[in-house]
Parts: sequence; structure tokens; C-alpha cells
Amino acid sequence: MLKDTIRLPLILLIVCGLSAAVVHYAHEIATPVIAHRQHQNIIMGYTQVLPQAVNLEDMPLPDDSMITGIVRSEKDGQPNGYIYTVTPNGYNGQIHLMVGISYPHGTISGVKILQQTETPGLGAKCTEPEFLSQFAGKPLQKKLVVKKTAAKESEVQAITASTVTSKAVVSGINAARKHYLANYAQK
Amino acid sequence: MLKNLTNGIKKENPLLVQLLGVCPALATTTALKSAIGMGAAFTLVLVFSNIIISLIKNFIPNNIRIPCYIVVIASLVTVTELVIHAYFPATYEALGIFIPLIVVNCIILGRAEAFASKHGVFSSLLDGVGMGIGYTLALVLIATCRELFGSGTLLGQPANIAGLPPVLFLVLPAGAFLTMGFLFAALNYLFHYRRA
Amino acid sequence: MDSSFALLFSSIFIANIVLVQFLGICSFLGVSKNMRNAAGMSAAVAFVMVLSAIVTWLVYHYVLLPLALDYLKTIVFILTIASLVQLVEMFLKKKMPALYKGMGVFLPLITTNCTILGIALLNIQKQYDLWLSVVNAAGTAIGYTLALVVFSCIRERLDQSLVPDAMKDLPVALITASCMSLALMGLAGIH
Repeated sequence: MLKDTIRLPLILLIVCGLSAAVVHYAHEIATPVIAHRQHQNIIMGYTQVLPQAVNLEDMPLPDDSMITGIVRSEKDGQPNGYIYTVTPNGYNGQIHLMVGISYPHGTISGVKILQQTETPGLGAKCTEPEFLSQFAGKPLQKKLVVKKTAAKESEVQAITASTVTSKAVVSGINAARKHYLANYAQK
Repeated sequence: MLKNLTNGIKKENPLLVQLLGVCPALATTTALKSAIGMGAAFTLVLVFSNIIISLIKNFIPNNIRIPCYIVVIASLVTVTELVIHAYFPATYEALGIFIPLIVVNCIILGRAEAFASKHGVFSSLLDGVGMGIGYTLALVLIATCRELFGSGTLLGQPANIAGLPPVLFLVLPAGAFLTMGFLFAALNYLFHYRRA
Repeated sequence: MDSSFALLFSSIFIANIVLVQFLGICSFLGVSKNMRNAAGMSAAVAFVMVLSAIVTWLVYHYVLLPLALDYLKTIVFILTIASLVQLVEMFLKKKMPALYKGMGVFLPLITTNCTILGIALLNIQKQYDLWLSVVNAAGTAIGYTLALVVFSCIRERLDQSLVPDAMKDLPVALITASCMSLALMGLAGIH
């Protein structure tokens, strides 16, 4: 019989080694599946906010901004739209959303919430089409503002009892608007 | 034999009687769907950990058994997490950090120590299944109350009873404590209520 | 607001680990029957939490990531925490017997306290750097202490009051926790 000082660590090592091998095997199988789906989700998100999205290319990011991603869509050598990923601060933390802007019209083609932790039943309604569908087609000349009852084109109907969340989403869209107008819009 | 199975469902229900695993019971019961996901993940880990530990119990010296159990459980949890992430992405999003935290769920290490390390493979399997079902049923009970009255839906489908407006409060963190408080009070009243 | 201060504030109040994020409920309900135990447990948790946040962060960034073994993090973290708790226990027993007397009995319970592993994993998930991880751990520890100590004081008083039989002990404690959680909700939305 081996001494305990050798036997105990040895057994522990065997248990750890076997466990790590099993986990490694599971990881080998699961990783490609996860990566594939995440890729699919991003592509799907792109076409949801910008239906004409093709030939996507990453664009340089501005420093010090809530913009975390800019993608240009190009057809026949001409850009036909831009997709921004922005992360404004909501009520309960960051909201990640995608904004599609079609070029050269300079209108919003769609908005999609990627990730949020807003209050269920209140702010979390920002993911619903009832709120998001109002953005499609809005022109970008004027800054968007949140109103309890929206009347003008540049006004956005707030989610009932969730003004902070509504304002957060709109501030993200406005950040994308500002960057688009400064860098890409047709003069 | 059958006693091993039913024990975990009623007499020693991990959540309702032993008061173990309260954290996920509060956090993942905002909707019935995520509660079922949590219960399934938990049951899977518990059943496999009970089986593996009852198989290896004779090879593990007594004084390093706890670290060995923890390694086995943590590996099972990681595998479960990978499987859920790969094949059930919606559940993965809904449960978040509470999947890896199954590692420190006292029920699993508790069953390994109190049951699987002393019994055969088949009894341990039954014990794991019973405890898993018991825990899942308790989660389902809480989640049903919260989803039905809190958002007026059931499994995501509209299910408004008696035209009551949804009580949003129940879906919020504070509502989790409240639901569970009243649930325990009701159980006390129905089953253990003794007049002094 | 300065980001580390904002994080500190939010980890203490807005995202209070016990009352909003539901971690560490077992110990929250278990050791809150009197204030002495609550204070001892909180001290032990606070100590180990900050220490383990530093160690797990270093292990993840200097061992697991270079070796591309980041998927083993749950296993490695729980083992790191378990060994750390053992070391702290041995160290305190030898060098600081007075402190050991106060929180020693709670130390073995800490390995399975989900706040410690939870914070270690959340720091990685939210991609905090070492400094923010420490701030987050410290804030969370303060939040935990706050919740536990206040809750234990309320429970001590509840013992003296007239409560319907079926509501005694646990149910009324949970309803108290609900009120405390509700109070913290009022702070959400502050940045």
C-alpha cells in the first residue's frame, strides 16, 4: 500500500483528470454548435433591422461613445445602409440594441433589442413590436424625443410607466443618428 | 425501493421541507418555463452525481471524499451548462448565472454525502430522480402562482383568470419573497398547523 | 458618475446580492435569527469574498485564458474557493485567535455560500478588470452585510410580536424580506 501522502493526491489527480477529460469532450462538441447559432443570430438581427443588408463590412468605431459596432452594407459597390450596435444605460443596466439606417434616404429601417435587463412587465416591454415598430421609416433630420403621446414624426411614443427605458432606447438611436449624420450621410 | 423515490417528493422535499436551494427558487420562478428549465437542469445534475458517486464511493478514501464530490459535481454542472447553451439557448438566457451556481446548491452535495455515498447505484438513482422531481414540483408551484397572477399568462400563453388584472409586483424580486412567504404559510396551515 | 463609485453604489443597493439578485438566501435565512451570528457570518463572507475575487480573477486571466481552458472556470473556481477557505481558517486559527473566535464557525459554511462563487463568475462574465472586480466584491460584501444585519434585527423584534401561528418564523421572515427588497427597488434607475 502506498503512503497516504502519495496515494491521496494521486486519487484526487485521477478524479480531476477524468472530470476534465469529460468536460473537454463536451466542450469540443458544444462549441461549434454555439458559435454557429450566435453567428446565425447576428445575421438574422442584421436582416431584421436592415432588410436589404448584403456584403457587410465592419467600420471604424468612434472613441468615447455608446456605439459598440458599426457595419456597412454594400450593393454593387454602393453603400445601401448602415447598422449600429449601441448600448445606452437603461433603468436596470445596459440595453444592447441594433439600429438599421438605410442609405441614401437616411431613414431608420428597423430597431431590435439584443439584450436588456429592464423590469419585467414595464421596461421589458421595449422588446415588443408595439414599441419598436414605430421607429421604422422615421427620418433622421431631427433628433428624436420621447413623448407620452407622440404626434410629430420626430416624436416617439413612450412605453407606459417606463419613461426611463424609453428614453434610454431613444438616446441610443440618437447616438447612432448623430454619428451617421456626421460621417456617412449624403450632404 | 419505491420509498427512495417518493421520499424526495413529499416527506423530505428539498425545498419545501428541508429549505435547501432557495436561491434558484426565488430567482428563476418569474415564468413557468424557466422554472421547468431550472428543475430539469437540476434533476439532471443530481441524478448523474448520485449515480457516479455511488459507483466510485469504494475507491475514494474517506478524508478526500468532499473535494472529489465537488469535482464530480462541478464537471457535471459544466457539461449541463454547455448542453443547455448549445441546444436550449432561450433557457440558457433565462437562467443565466444560476446554471453554474447549481454547483453550490446544497441539495446536491447533501444527497451525495447523505445518500449516494452509503447506498447502491439503483437506490441512488431513484433518490436522485425523487429529489429532482420534488424540487421541480416546488419550483413549478411557485412559478405558476407568480406567472399566473403576476403577468396573467401561463407558459407564455394568455391565461387570465376571473378577469383579474395582472399584479406586476409578483414578478419583481420583492414579489418572489412574498409569494414564497405566503406559500410556506399556506403549507404550515394545511399540513403542520398545530394549535398550542 | 465615476464608474467605480457607480459600481460600488449599485452593488450595495440597486443590485443588492441578497434582496435583488437572490444569491446567498440560504445563509440569509439560516443565520439571521440573532444579530451576533449575522454579524459573524457577514464578516466571514466579506473577508473571503474580496480575497476570492482577487484570486479567481488572477487565476482566470493568468492561467485559464492563456491555456484556453476558460470552459473549466466553474470547476477551477469552486476548488480555488474551497482551498482558500481552508487556508484562511488555518491562518486565522494560528495567527489571530480572537478573530477566529468571532467568525471561525461560519468559515466552513462559506464554500457552499453561492455569493462567493456567484461574484467570482459575475466578475468574469461582466469583463471587469481587477480593480472593478475588487470594487464589485467589496460593494457586494457591504450589501450582504447590510441586508443580513438589518434583517436579523427585524427578526429579533418579530420574535417578540404577535404573529398568526401559521405565519410564524419563516413565512413572516420572507414577507419581511419582501418589504426590504421593495424598499431597494426605489433606488433603481440612479446612475
